[in-house]
Amino acid sequence: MTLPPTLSVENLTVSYPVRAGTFWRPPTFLTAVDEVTFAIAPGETLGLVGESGSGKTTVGRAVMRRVNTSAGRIFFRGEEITQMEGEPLRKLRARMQLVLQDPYTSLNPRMRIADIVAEPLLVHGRVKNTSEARDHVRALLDLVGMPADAHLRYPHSFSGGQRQRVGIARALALEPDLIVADEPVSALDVSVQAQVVNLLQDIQQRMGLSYLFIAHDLSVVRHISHRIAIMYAGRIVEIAPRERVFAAPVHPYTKTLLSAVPIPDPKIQRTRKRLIPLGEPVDLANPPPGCRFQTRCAFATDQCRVTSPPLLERSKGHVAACWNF
Amino acid sequence: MTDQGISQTGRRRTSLFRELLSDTPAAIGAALIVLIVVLTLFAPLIAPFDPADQNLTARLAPPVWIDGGSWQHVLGTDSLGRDVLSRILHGGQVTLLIGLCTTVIALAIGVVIGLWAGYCGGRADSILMRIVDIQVSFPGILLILLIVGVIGPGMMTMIIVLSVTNWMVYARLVRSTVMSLRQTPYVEAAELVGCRPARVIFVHILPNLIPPLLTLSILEFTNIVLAEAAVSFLGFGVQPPAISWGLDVATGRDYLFIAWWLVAFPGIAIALTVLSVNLFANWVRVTTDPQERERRFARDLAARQRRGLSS
Repeated sequence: MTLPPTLSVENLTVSYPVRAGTFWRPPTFLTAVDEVTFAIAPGETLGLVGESGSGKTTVGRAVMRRVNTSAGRIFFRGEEITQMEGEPLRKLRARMQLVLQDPYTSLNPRMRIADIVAEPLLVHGRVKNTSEARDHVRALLDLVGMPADAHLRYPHSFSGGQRQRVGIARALALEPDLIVADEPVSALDVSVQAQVVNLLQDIQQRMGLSYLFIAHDLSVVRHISHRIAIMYAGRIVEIAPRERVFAAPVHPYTKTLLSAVPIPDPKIQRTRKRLIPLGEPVDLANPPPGCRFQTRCAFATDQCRVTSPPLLERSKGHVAACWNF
Repeated sequence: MTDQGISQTGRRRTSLFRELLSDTPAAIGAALIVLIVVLTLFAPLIAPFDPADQNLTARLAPPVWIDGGSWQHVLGTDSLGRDVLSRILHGGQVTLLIGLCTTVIALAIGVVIGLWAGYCGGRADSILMRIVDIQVSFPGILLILLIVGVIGPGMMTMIIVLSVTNWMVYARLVRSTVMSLRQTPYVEAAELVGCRPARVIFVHILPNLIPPLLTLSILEFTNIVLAEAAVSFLGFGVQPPAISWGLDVATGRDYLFIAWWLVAFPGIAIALTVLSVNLFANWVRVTTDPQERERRFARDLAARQRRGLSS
C-alpha cells in the first residue's frame, strides 16, 4: 500500500473580485490561479517557480486555506479540505504551517522569541504556558541553529537570517507534515540564503516532512527541490523532476526563464543566447482564449490562440502544456 | 515574561520603579500627578477656606506678591471674594473625575466599536462606521443640550454626555489601525498558526494600539476639560456651588483685564495636569515597546559610563 500524497491539488482555481458588482454591472473577476493540478509526496519538496503575479503565492495561500478557492479540490493526506472551516480547520493548521517571506515583519515585535516559538504549542493545547514549553522551545531553537540565550530576547535584536530561523522554528513547533515556504529566502542576503536553504533541507531529512517551496530564484529552487513546477499567468506550464527541467525543458516559457539565469563561467556565458520574451504579458483580468503565453511566444500558432494546451506527459514524471514541443 | 517565576514579580516591580526614576521628565511627571491627586483628594483638609465662602469686603484681591495682596488669600480672590487657592484645590476633584471617567468610558466604547469594525470588516464595518459618521456630523453641543435637557444637569450627566460625544475619534483610530495590522505578516502568521480570533486580537493587535491610543486619550483629556468648561459656562454642566477648573476659567473670563489671576491659576492647574500626564504617558509608551525600551536602556547606560569616565 502506498501512502496518499501529503498534498494534492486538482484543478485549483482562485479568482478575486477586482471591482464589486453594482445594480447595472456584474462584478469583474481576476483569475489569479487557473486549473492548477499537482501533488506532493511525503518527504518531497516541490519548487513552485514563476514571475511576480503568476499566482504562485496565491497557490500557497489557497493550499493553506487562507484564501477561498473558486473551483477545484484540495486534499491533505487523502482528506478533502477544500471547504473546511472553523474548528476542524484550526486543528488542521497544526499539520500544515507557513514560513513567510519577510522575516522583519513576520514576528510580533512585542513578543519574546520564546513566546513566539511556543505560541503554536500554546494555541493547540499542547502546553499550558510558555514556561512549560521551555525545553521544547530550547530544542527547537537549537535545531534551527539559534544561540542558546535567544529565547528571552525580542525579534529586533536579531538579523534577518536569524529571524527567518525563528520563523522556521515556529513552523516546526507542531511537527507538521507540510510546510508551505513562501519565498522564505528572497528577503535575505545570498550567503544567508544558502544557510537557510540548507537548514530547511536538513530538517526535511530529519523529520521527513514535505515542502511546497515557492520562489522566483531558479538556483535556490534547483538546490532544494525534488521536482519543479513552473507557473505562468496563473497556470502551470511544466512540472518535471529537478534535473529534467534544467537539462530538457519543453515549454518555451521555461526555456526563456532558464536563459535568464547566468552561468558562472564567462566563456560559456558569452556564447549563450538570451531568449527575450516578445510582446506584452497577458492581461489576467481579460485573458484571450488559448495558451496564456501566446502573446509572448515566438512559436505561437493559430491553434495556440484558440485552445489551451493540456498538460501532457513528455517523459516519466515530466509534463508540459504546449502544442508545439 | 512568562519565563520567570512568580517569586521574581516583586523584584521586577521595584526595577520598573527604578527605571521610572532614571527618566527625569517621566519621574517629574509621575510626581506631579501624585501631588495633584493628593492635593485634590485632601482638598477639604488643606484648603484655607470653604470654596463657596464669600467675603465681599475682599473682592478681587490680587495674589500675595502683588501690591494689595495678602497672605490670607495667597492666590487672590474672585468677584465674590472667594479664595482662588481653595477653589482650585476643590475644583480639581470634579475636573479630574469628569476628565478621567469620560476618557476611560469613551476609550472603552471607541476601542470595542473600532475593533469590531476593523476586525470583522464587511457589513459590520459599513454599519458601524456610518453610525460614527452620523454621530460626528451631528453637532455635539446640540446633543449635549438635548441629553441634559432630558435628564437634568449634574456630574453624572456630564460624564455620560461627554463620553457619548467623544468616542468616535477612538473608534476611527482603532478601526484604521486594526485594518492595517490585520495585513501585517505576523498577524497573518498568528492566524495561520491556529490562534483563535480572541488571541489574535488581544495578543497581537491590541498591544500595538497602545501608543496611538495613549497619545490620543491625553489630547482628548484636555479637550474634555475644556468641553466641560464650555458646557458649565452655558449653565448646563457643573452647577454652582459645585466648582471645577473649567467653570472657574469660564466665569473668570469676564474679569480678565482687571483680575487675570481668576483665569490664570485654574488655567495653570489644567496645563500642569495635562503636562504631567503627558510626560508620564510618554514613558509608558516607551516602556510598553520592547525595542524603544532597550534603546532607552542603552542610552542611559552610555550616559552613565560617560559620566563615570569624566569624573
